[in-house]
Amino acid sequence: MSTLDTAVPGLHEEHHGPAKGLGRWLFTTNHKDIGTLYLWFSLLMFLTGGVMALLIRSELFQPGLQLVEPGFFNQLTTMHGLIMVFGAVMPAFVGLANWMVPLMIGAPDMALPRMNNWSFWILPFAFAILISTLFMDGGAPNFGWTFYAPLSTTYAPPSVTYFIFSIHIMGASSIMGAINIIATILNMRAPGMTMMKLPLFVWTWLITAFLLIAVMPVLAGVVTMMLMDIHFGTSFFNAAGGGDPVLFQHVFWFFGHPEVYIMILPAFGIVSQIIPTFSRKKLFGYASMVYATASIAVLSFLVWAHHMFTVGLPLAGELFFMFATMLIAVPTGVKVFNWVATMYRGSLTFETPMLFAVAFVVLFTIGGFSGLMLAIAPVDFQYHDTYFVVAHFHYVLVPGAIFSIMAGVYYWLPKWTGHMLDERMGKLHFWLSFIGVNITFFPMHFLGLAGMPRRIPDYALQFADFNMIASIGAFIFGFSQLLFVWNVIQNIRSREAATARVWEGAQGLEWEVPSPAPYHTHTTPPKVE
Amino acid sequence: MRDNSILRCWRALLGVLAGFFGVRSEAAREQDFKEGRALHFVVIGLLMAAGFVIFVIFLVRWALSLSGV
Amino acid sequence: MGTIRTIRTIISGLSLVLLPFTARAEWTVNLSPGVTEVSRSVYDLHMTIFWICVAIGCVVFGVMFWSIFHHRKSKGAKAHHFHEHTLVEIAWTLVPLGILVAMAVPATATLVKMYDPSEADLDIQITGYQWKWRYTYLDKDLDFFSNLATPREQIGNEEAKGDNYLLEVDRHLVLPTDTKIRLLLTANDVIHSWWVPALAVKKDAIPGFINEAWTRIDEPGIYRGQCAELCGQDHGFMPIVVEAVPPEQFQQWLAQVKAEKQAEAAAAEKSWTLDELMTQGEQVYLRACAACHQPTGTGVPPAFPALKGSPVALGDVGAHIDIVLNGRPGTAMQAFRDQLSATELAAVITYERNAWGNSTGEAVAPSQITRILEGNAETAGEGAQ
Repeated sequence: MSTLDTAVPGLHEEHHGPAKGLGRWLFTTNHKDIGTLYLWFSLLMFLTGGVMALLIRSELFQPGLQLVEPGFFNQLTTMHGLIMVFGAVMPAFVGLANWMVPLMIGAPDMALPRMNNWSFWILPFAFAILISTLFMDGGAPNFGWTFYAPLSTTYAPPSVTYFIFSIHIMGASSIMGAINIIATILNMRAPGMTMMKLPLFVWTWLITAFLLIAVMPVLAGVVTMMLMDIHFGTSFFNAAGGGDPVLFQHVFWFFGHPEVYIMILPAFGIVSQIIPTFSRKKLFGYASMVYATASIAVLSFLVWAHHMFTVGLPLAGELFFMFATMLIAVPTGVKVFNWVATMYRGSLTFETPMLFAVAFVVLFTIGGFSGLMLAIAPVDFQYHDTYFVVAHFHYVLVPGAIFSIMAGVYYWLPKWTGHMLDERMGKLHFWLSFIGVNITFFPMHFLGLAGMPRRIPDYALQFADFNMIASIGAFIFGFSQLLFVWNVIQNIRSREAATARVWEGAQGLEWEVPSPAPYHTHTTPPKVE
Repeated sequence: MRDNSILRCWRALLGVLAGFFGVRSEAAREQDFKEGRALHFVVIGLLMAAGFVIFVIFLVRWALSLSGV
Repeated sequence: MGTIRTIRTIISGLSLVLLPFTARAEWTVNLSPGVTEVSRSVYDLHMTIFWICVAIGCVVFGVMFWSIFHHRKSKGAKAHHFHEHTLVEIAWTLVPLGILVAMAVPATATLVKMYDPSEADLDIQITGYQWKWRYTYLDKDLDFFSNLATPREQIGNEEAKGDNYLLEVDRHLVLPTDTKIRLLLTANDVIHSWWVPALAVKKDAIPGFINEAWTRIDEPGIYRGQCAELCGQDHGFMPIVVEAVPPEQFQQWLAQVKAEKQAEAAAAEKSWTLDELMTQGEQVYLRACAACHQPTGTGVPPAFPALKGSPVALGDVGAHIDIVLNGRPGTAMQAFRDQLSATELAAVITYERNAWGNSTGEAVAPSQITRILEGNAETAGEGAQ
């Protein structure tokens, strides 16, 4: 039989082609199908969280309460944050990893295909539970995505228990996804694909996966402590019972700061694939990038309290976290220099994925600058919990993480569907997003410096102009994402066939298989020079 | 044999230092991956992270003693 | 930094178009230098780090845009296959490192200054409540709550908004200038954060713990701030107003407030009619109760129960008084015994028992509340022993 398989490769594929109907998606163990599921799910969550963002921005369009009650406003900001972080950004990266990691390392599939199916299919349930809280008595969680105790324990709405349960499910899903990616990268590489030849996207994901395994249990721990406080009479975070509300913040940010890197390291990986392709040049300082990523991952565990400069840390604590934060800013800056040096004296073209990647570098750097400013503890007393922080983390997450995901989707879409993208529409989407994102988030820097606190449904009159501008930008950005959906659907239905290599300067194993990638690829290990 | 393993640890130490600094040359990296052991890098990396913490703690103490607190 | 300039141009262009539609207000795009020595050093630090970022941005984006314009394939650029240059890489690591070390020095100095609340001449305890601030002048026998003063009609867009919309309170925190003032921050329920930008003071108020901060205000004036930590529904509606006055004027103010307090205690002893109590009760209710129980008394169940037709407001008056005075532990219902005067408490309870069709016809006399408060104070004192 084995001789037959190798002699007639087509036969093998037909035997194991995708099943028909809904069952294909429910029972699939194929990394491409699961990757697709993750990506569609993430898009759905992105649009859901986006609708909430637009509701928030509509309320903030003018001073005064117009659309929503303050209580519901808090539910909206909370759900927007949770859905975007856990529902949009993280599953999108897992989806990209599912699709691309086996293709890039020459593996036939993920190492643990059944667990792969399980880790995806518990996600829709987690988010169904989370979103259902909006319709419960007392409303959805309203304590912000950082859910500081005791607002999220003693003073929380009854739906907080559902929130805790859904966070547990999301955590389990992430851990399973991470285990799978690590097992795949360490065990399933094609012969000759040594660690030092791994594409940077694979490297960054390997490191991200270790971060996930390290911190998701911490998140699970902190929500379990909340659960105990709410239902079982403990006092972890209740000062009246001998607990400490600040303990919550330490535990949360011990998860939360590495989480920030979980959301940005794969983005670094994607951009490090795209920029060399369209510069027709090797990545400058590949080795440095790998080493710097690994060390950033380790050091990300040592800076958590820079999110807590105002809680009254002792002076020595403030200084420790300020110095440590400033020191680890350097390797992050080095990455930006590497991308710029890669473009320098290259042979550049600007197809849609490259546009998103370049915008990523520019706007992520602006987010990095505001991050540097926030690291200076005495000045952070003025920035903390204002719109300056909102501007900062949206700059690193929207034109950072989200732009990199879009760049990755446009970059690999021809490989998935076998069709070339309509460049004109892709560029239209890019420019509308780029303009929209800046109109939305740049004025927020000014708002924060002028003194507007975050998470307020109504504001003083001196903040009116910039809020109106930000809201207009949000609508431009939000509605231009419909173009993204349109582009993806048009691409699936298009007839313009893509070549196997797709992009002139593309390098790597994923471009050796035909476009669209057959249902089973690398069934016999490819040769790696 | 002994010399060899000391040399390896030394190389791993240099590699980790370079990682923290954020700069490593291609040739050095190739050597790291050819000769080094992953375990060495992980253990030394964690030790160095602990060293980093101690270094920053001393930095803080020094800064505090300078400003007379 | 080219992008930022373009963005700024776009933004200012857009706003010119929009200006006629927006509420008239001043434009602020930067931190204010503030009115204390600390706030000025914070401002200087902020500007230094900002210009450092601008300079780094110019270099990085300069090289990048140079490549984008000149190294295009369409202009016939051929890729130069260089990669790696250890010296360049070391340089671009060391230079930012040096800049950061240079930044760390003044930052540490400012932080050390901020952390030295010793030798203060005046101690103020600040307690965050859902959704108001309580100011206690330690050793001065003075203690009051400070509530949002913006009328609900302005928030609901039924009236034109005032100049200090959402940044005005019924009682200012009056502080003397040129005096080192120590602030002791804590909270009664959830975490709040006391922030006045002009003083560069932002410190979390955490239930069960006391945080320290300090300030020395140089110029008399009114400085406004807001709660900076999400603390529930009306987080956006608990502003802070600091009124800095010269020290002599501060002493006069202290004397005046004490006199007013005595007058109020005397008023509690006179006899009040139901109508008088209802009129004052409505005002108190709108200020202290309506945020949760709503102006119509319908509440927002289940978190904030309705008072209209409720068994509490229609039932035993003693139980009703007890809940208003002592709150309901474990719920959002606070103890109002310290927040309102005896007269205000009597008036608001009377109002709750007779408004929105709750027609018990019962009036609660302020003197009755005074007696309960005095009695409770004794029992509470014994309990604490």
